[in-house]
Amino acid sequence: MKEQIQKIKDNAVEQISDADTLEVIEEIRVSYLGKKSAFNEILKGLKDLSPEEKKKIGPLANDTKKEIQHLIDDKKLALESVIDEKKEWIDVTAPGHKHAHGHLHPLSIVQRDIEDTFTSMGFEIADGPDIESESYNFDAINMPDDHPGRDMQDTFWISREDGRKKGTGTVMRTQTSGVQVRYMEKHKPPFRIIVPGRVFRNEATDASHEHTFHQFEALVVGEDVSVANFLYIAETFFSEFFGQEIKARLRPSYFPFVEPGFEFDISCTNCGGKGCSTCSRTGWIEVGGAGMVHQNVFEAAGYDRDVYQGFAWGFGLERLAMMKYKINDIRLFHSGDVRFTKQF
Amino acid sequence: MKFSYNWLKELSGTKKSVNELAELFMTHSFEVEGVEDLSNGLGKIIIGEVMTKEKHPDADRLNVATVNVGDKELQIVCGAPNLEVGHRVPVALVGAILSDSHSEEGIKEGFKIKKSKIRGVESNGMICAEDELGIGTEHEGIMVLADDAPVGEEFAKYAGLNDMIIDLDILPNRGHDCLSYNGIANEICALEGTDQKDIHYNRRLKTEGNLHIAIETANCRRYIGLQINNIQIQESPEWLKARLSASDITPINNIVDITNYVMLETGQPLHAFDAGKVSQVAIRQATDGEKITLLDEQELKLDSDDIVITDGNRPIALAGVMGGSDSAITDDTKNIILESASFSSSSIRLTQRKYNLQTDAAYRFERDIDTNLANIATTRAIELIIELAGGKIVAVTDNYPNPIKPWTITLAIDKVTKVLGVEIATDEIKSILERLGMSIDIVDEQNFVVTVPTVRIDLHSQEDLIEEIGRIYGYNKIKPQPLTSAVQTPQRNETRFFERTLKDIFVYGGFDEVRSYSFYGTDDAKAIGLNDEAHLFLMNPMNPEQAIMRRTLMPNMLRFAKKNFSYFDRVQIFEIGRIYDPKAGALPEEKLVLGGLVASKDAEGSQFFEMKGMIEVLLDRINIEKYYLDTVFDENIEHLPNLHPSRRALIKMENGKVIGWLGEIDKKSAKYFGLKKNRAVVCELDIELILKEVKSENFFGSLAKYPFISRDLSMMVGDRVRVDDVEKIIYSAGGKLIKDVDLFDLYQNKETGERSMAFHIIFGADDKTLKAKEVDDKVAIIIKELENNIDVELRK
Repeated sequence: MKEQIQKIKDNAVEQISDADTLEVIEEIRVSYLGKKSAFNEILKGLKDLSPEEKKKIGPLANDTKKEIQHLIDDKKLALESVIDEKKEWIDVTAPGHKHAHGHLHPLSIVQRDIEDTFTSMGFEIADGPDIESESYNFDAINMPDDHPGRDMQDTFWISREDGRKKGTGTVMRTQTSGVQVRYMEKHKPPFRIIVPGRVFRNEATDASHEHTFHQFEALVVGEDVSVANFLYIAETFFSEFFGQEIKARLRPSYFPFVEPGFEFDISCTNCGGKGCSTCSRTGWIEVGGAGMVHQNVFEAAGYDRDVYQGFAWGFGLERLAMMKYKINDIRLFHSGDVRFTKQF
Repeated sequence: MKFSYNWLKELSGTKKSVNELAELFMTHSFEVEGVEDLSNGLGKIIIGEVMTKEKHPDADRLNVATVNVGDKELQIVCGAPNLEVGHRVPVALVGAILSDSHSEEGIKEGFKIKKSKIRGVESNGMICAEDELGIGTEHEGIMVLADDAPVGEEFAKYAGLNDMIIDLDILPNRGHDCLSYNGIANEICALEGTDQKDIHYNRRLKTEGNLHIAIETANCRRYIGLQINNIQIQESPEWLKARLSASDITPINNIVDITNYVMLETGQPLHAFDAGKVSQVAIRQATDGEKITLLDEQELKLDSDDIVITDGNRPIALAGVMGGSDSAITDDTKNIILESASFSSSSIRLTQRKYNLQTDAAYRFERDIDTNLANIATTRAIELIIELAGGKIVAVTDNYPNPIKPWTITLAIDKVTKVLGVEIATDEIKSILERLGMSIDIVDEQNFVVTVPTVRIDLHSQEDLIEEIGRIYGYNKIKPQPLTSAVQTPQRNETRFFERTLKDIFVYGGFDEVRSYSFYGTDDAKAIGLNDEAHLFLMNPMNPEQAIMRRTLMPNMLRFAKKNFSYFDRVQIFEIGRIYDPKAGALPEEKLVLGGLVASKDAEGSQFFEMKGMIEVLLDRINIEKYYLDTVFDENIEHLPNLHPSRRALIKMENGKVIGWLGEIDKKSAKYFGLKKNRAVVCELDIELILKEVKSENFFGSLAKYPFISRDLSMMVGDRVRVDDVEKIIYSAGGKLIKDVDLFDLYQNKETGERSMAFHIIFGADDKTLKAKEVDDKVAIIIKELENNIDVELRK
């Protein structure tokens, strides 16, 4: 009997090994392990054996059955996993199926970068109206009545029924600084805000001038906020924005709403300050204006004089985007040309 | 303003090179617009004397001259008609590089003088015309110099052109003191820590003689009149002319040149009248309609905002701006009245702007100058006039009703460190202020009382002084310091954040973001059916196409669609921007909206549904469910653009609130925007309203425990039966068991016009597994309800 089992096993091993289709494997299974198989007969016959023989043959028969079952399962899995190269081959270098997607405007991308960096430094994002009263746009930020900026050739004035009376006019805001005062009227220092927004200047357009553009303004006010703090924030921000170490430089300048006032430059993003054609060999690029908030502005916002100090800082989003992406014509931003947007 | 380096050097005593000076200004004072070498192109140009002149043997129009250039005589061939023996002339030696007189590029395109043969005759240089020297435009003949021009000397030196020009962008708050050589020289001294040169000709002018000066307007703050008789009008000496030219002022005659020279030096504009035509002076506001003919022969009709200088009767000058032609200095003038006066800056600015008269005088007056400059300038002018024009002072009157005296500012010393963020020693603060001409009283250890010279009109507050200290000390010495003050965690700007979400959804939906101007034209408004009254008008628009504030993003988007059709067959764009509603109170209401557009050249396309699909995805992503499209356009909704009457809808919330609209543009608008052959669908969503609807918390709903069963219903439908009509009946007939209804097929046979719809209906119960029979019974009820109520026929 032992030999008989061994023989069945040997035959099964050989046949399983030779089997090359799932059908053949199934036939093999039926013939060796099925109800009518020789093996089954042996197992059935076990009950007629003496207890001693039962002890010997029983486990052997069972193990052999399991072994054959394993071999069949393995072979089956192997056969199932075989791939029909002819049917299944694909050209993996063909283009992927893409879901059509659009593009963000570069100003949106730059604005997000800036907002995220400033938010991480504890700044809040403030907003104000595009159409602003003459008093917020000019008076509150210490622009004298006859400041040239108020001229018709520099500012868009809104036509109101009552006409323009001095001080009561309405303008397309020429800077976001009016928001400073609006914010300060409702909040007490210390605070840090940024004000990104659309501004307007009545000037002819060319590759580097637009009548509609976006400004970005930061304002930090407290009891001891200093020029040194401004330098730190400026260098931190620009280093983050351009992904390289940036130095900031201040030069004397004048804006009615700050004192002291600065023009600020950053080390050239192209050459790192060594001097190249981008920075006209100076190593520096002029980026924007800044200064310590004028006490008159604090007063206009309802603060007492000489209690707080802080810096205000503004630059053009378009200019930053132009530097970052090497865009050579500012008019592209509002051109509506999707060939432009699609590049970002 | 352009400054001569030589002149500044003379006044300030600086030893710095022009480039070092430029660097110094850049760091501490002003932007340097440029540095120019006046002697550029004048190297190897020497003054020569023409010794002989003979006809060229082979050319009628040429002469052969010998020219003495000091150390030798040169043979030079010359074609100029005005060449004469004895003339002193500029000679370009062999090797000189001249500007190309025939090139627009000027000296960039220099040409080099070589030893050459001209028609067989040797020529060792060139006798130059003005334009070849880059100092004029004259090309008709050679430049003939004065008889005493020193032979052999460098022409550049002789003509005062061995100088460098430094062009400074004087900041608006320094126009008071720095639009002058004295001001800049003082600045240099302050920066270098050297003593300011004594340039204050500050003695009081004693009134003498009998010149009547009446100030009849508060806009004139001071008027010094000075009569000098028996002067001699002539050309100014070369040094004076050169200095005027260096600052871009054209020399005229000695008197006029002196007034300009003194203005450059002191910053005080002066004017000279012919005393033969003026015997007394009165300053008053002009009367409306009063006329004056100015020096440039332009006749102006004045109004009462203008200040005029009169001879007691008629205007002889537009005060602070330009003199009149009647009283001007001429070659025959013998006696003059010299004016040194001060006027209200805002008044001068108004007048200057009104008539667009940009003169050197107005440029300074409108920036406001120190009234105490008037006598300094007068004294200096007297000195020069006596020296260069002779004459005798016969009368001086100084009418100065309210003399300005130096004022004081109290400076808290610790404030300097606190504002600048850098420690500056008290001694250094004191030294800086003193170098700037201020005097200091030390009150106590904490405070200075600083007396400010009247020329520094810009200095009035403590911060003004801190700026002076900071810039002279050097901003470059301030080290960055992190902010130390605590600050509250910033509040998120919800609208901004929401904008980002919306943009991302549209971008992932295949739309490109654009930005358009906040304006459009009245024609655009008309084309889309909006009234003028719906808009805010600009008082001073760039052009008629950008004259009114946008009430909708649509016109600009349609224009963009047209533009992009030059490169694409299909345009999907969106913009988030503000629109402006003039209805509100003091300031107009600004609404933030999202405008979208789908346009394609395929006129049969399903643009409407693509736009709608995008909106559905958007609202789904931000968890807004309870909205519907309403095709009934309430006439009360104002300012909606014209849309295709059967392809438009309002997007409403359950409570009827309109959160936006979408629709295909109507034929008229399409034609106006050049989209006649295309279909364009636009939408506009009110972002603030939608943000309010967004569920602040989106709770989890438990997952169904029992399996769903689905059934498909396919039906032929009659004309105008809408998907919405069918769905409503399915929901109401199916009751609670209906979990979802989806249209999966919508078909119209092009030939017969027959329409069909097919729906996928999902059934389920919350408390048990549904049996097939229960579902089939429900379906039977639905079919019955459908067939009874609307024009449909179920396909079996």
